[in-house]
Amino acid sequence: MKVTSSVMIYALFIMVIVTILIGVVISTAYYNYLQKLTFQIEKQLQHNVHSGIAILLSNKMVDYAHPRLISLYKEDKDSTYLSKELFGMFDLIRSRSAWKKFSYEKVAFAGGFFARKKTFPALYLTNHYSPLCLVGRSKITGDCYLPQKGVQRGYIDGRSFEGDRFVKGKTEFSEPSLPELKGQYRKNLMEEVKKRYLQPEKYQALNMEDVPDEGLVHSFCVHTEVVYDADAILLRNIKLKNNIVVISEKEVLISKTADLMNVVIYAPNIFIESGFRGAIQCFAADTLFVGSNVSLDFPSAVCLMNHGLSHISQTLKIASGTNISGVVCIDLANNSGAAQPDVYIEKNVQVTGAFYSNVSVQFFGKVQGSLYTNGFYVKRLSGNYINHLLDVEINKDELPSQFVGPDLFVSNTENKIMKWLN
Amino acid sequence: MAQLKRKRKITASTLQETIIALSIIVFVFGIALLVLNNLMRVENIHVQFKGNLLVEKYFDHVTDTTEQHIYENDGFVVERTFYPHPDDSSLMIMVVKVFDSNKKKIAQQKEILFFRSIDSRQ
Repeated sequence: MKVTSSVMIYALFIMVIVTILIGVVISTAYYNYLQKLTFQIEKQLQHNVHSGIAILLSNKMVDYAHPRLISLYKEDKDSTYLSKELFGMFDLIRSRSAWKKFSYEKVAFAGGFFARKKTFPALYLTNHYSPLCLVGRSKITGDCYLPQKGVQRGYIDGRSFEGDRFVKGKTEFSEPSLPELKGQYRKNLMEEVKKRYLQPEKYQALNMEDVPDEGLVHSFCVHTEVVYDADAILLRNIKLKNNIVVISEKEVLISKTADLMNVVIYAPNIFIESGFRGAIQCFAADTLFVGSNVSLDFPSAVCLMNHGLSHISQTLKIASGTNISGVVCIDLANNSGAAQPDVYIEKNVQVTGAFYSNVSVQFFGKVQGSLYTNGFYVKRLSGNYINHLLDVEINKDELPSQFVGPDLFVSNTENKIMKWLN
Repeated sequence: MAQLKRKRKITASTLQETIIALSIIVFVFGIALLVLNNLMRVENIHVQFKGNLLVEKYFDHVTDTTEQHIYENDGFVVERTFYPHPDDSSLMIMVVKVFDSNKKKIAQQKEILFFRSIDSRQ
């Protein structure tokens, strides 16, 4: 039988098969190459970002409010955007690297206060010519800066010092004034806050009524969300999380049902209900009450700060059973006309981190970390006992080795990561 | 008779068509050979990938930043070097290079370290 057929058809058929095979081989190779390239670029961006974080931690090349675009090695694909700003009391550092459609970013809180740093003492009590008097089960562990009159046994309500050593650590003489806080903190609180956050061209402030019922969960990779009300703000049954600033020109009441994390609150008066738990930074200009059994998780800050004029007696009270991991800071201007500020820390209050007060405090709690103050006093019916500590424990050695808090004093020391935020 | 019936003969329509068909087949196979040959010559992607993974591995666990380190790993040579940063004395630049068995560089990565806080990487 004779089959007549066109050879051309066979040839074209073979060509199509071979072309498909070549296509498969080439596209596989191409996609492998693309995958390798993507991996390389992503890894390079990650290394750039970590390099940026290292530069930010070294704290020499980037200033507050002056972000920089740095070419890390003066090569291709190594441009990295670095910025450092204050979020409440903490340094918010940001490192971002991008190339074409690829980008990578890390945001973190950084701080220069940590356990291994010897420059932070257990206690810094300014030298005002009256000695430190320990009463009851008071215990101080760690190096101290004390008045020239030193430390001695005190007596309150018929009780004397019950320990065996006054200070377990080295002691040195303190200066007549405390080390000054960073300049950024020492301002008229509410004016400064309004100047910074109530700028319509930069932040679109939400009113409390505009906040959705389910709350706000925000990100540190975008601009700060501002919630502002000229009237009082009640935070109850609400969730606010990450990069949110709440400002009231009157007061903020925080209920124990509020779910707050990485939120900064500014108001003349702030009240935290007993039993609340969260990670917040509170800045009050006049009054700050923290109820009992409140747990302010790391990193939190409780601050009574004002360098503007105030005609009332500024008050900070922290009730029994409260734990604060972060910073407690009282920094008030010396207003000769105003009444004496009232700072009262009850028994069983524990502060892990730093406690700073430029006014005299009634302190009955415990500090795991450093305590800086202009003086202590204990008020009794029989009178005021100056620089007396009754059943107080201050222990720098108990500060967890991994703890990092903000350096309140100097801006350009080495830093560590406090907390990654993305 | 049946044997004759099963016998088939393929004949081309024309000589011209046959020549063209042969040329196409030769051309297509030639191209295929060329592509495969080139792909085989290109560095093995898997080797490069492994080199990149090795680079990442040697970025971790940095404890000694004082000198150059050379490691051998699965037929690859990994070189880790530290240089001081030109603008900040507290920073170091770490360079990790991976070479194959023919001493050809197949991967490289750089990172700046804050040497007091090497543990700062996540």
